[in-house]
Amino acid sequence: MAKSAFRQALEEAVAQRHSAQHPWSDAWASGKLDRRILGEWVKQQYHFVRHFSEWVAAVYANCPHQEVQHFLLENVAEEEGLIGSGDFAPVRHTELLLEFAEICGTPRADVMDAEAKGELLPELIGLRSWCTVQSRRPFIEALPGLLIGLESQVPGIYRKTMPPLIDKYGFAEEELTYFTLHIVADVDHGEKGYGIVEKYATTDAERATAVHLVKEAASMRRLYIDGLYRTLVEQPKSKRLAA
Amino acid sequence: MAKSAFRQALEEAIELRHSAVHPWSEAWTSGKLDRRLLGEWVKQHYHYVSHFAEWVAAVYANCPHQDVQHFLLENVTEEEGLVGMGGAAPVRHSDLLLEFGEVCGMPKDKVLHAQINGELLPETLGLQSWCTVQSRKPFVEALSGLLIGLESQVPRIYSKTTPPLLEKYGFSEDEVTFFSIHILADVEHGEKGFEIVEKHATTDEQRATCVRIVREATMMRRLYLDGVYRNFMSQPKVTSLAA
Repeated sequence: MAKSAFRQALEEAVAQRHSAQHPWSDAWASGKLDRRILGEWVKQQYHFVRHFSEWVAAVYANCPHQEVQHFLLENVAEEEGLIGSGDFAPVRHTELLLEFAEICGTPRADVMDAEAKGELLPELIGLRSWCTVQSRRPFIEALPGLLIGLESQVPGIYRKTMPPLIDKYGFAEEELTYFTLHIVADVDHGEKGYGIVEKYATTDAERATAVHLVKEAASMRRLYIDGLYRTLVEQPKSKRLAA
Repeated sequence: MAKSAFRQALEEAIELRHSAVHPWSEAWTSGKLDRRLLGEWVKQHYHYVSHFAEWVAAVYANCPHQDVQHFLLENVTEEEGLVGMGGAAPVRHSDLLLEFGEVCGMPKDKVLHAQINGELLPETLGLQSWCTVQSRKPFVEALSGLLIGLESQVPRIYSKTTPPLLEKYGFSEDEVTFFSIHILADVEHGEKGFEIVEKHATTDEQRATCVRIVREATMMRRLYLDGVYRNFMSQPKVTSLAA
């Protein structure tokens, strides 16, 4: 079946601002990072993704359609490790991220305490606050941003950044479950997100809002990785040059 | 009376990241902007400050102390122009900003529709969302960020940026009321904010949280200015160099 104009507009909104095409992702894919920097990335990323199931749960709590609620609850249950995703055994997804940090040499306590220690980047706090605000909107406005604008990007990002973790940074396949799991799980979540938004955004105004919020979501995600790139790649370089 | 260690820590948290000391504020005071750029600034700034009364009202709605509620309500009614401030006639403060935008040649409608038109910078959306999230927190935490971290900075920022509006950009005194009114009003609001937080943050843990949130507020405000500066001052130059 041909894609609707609305679906095309949603996909285009993501494609034009996709986080996979960004200096941060390029630096990652071309092997310019190292385990220390990847550990620093986890420190930030953890404080974004660990709230994702809370945001989805807030939409669940505020959604009048049982079939949508069912999907959202499944999403939360997978993230929190109550049920498995695809062929993967149930596991709390953020737990996998903490394990990856430890392999990178960043202790889990350093990751978990980063917020209390004031180590989170304002760009990350901005993205996270934006998500919290979205999660309190009517479900048909919340889901375009969270599922299409953000979650649907994940497989594309990790398909680009996962192979170099093995080829260039020397990780073993089993150390990368956080990434492989999300390549599988979020294809399904993202696709279902499109299905829901296409079904329930029925007026022109609702569709225009959905496209607008997908653009905002993708811009906010880029803001976050702008912060990562400036802080972890560019600034250390200029400090080295100045030294 | 000597200032408490807590008060000093709060003040220091602001001082270290004060928005008055920022390349954007420097460019403004040294006359490097023009009316077009000031109009672009209004477009961003409006979508931050026009929500301030809502954030304060959300704290009011969630605050168990009548004296604090009374102050917050007074703050909201002043911002919204129901009552005047210190001898000045009642006026909706964000209307003054829109009028300043028009004097700069930026039509009111363009400012009002900037968010829907996708013209807000992600940095502006980050600050705006952060404030919304803060406004739903317990009142002592919310007020630390909103009144101390943000509002208390305003008099110093505008004391620095208002005189050049007259001397370097050629505005008349009555065209810059948005700025002059805030120099007076926010000295009082900021001071009361300190008093409330000092009175109601009674445990070491609460005090540490307040200092951390004030720090976060100042970082988020700087993030917003970084965005304005990069987009309107650094990037156009790069583009013109590349042209």
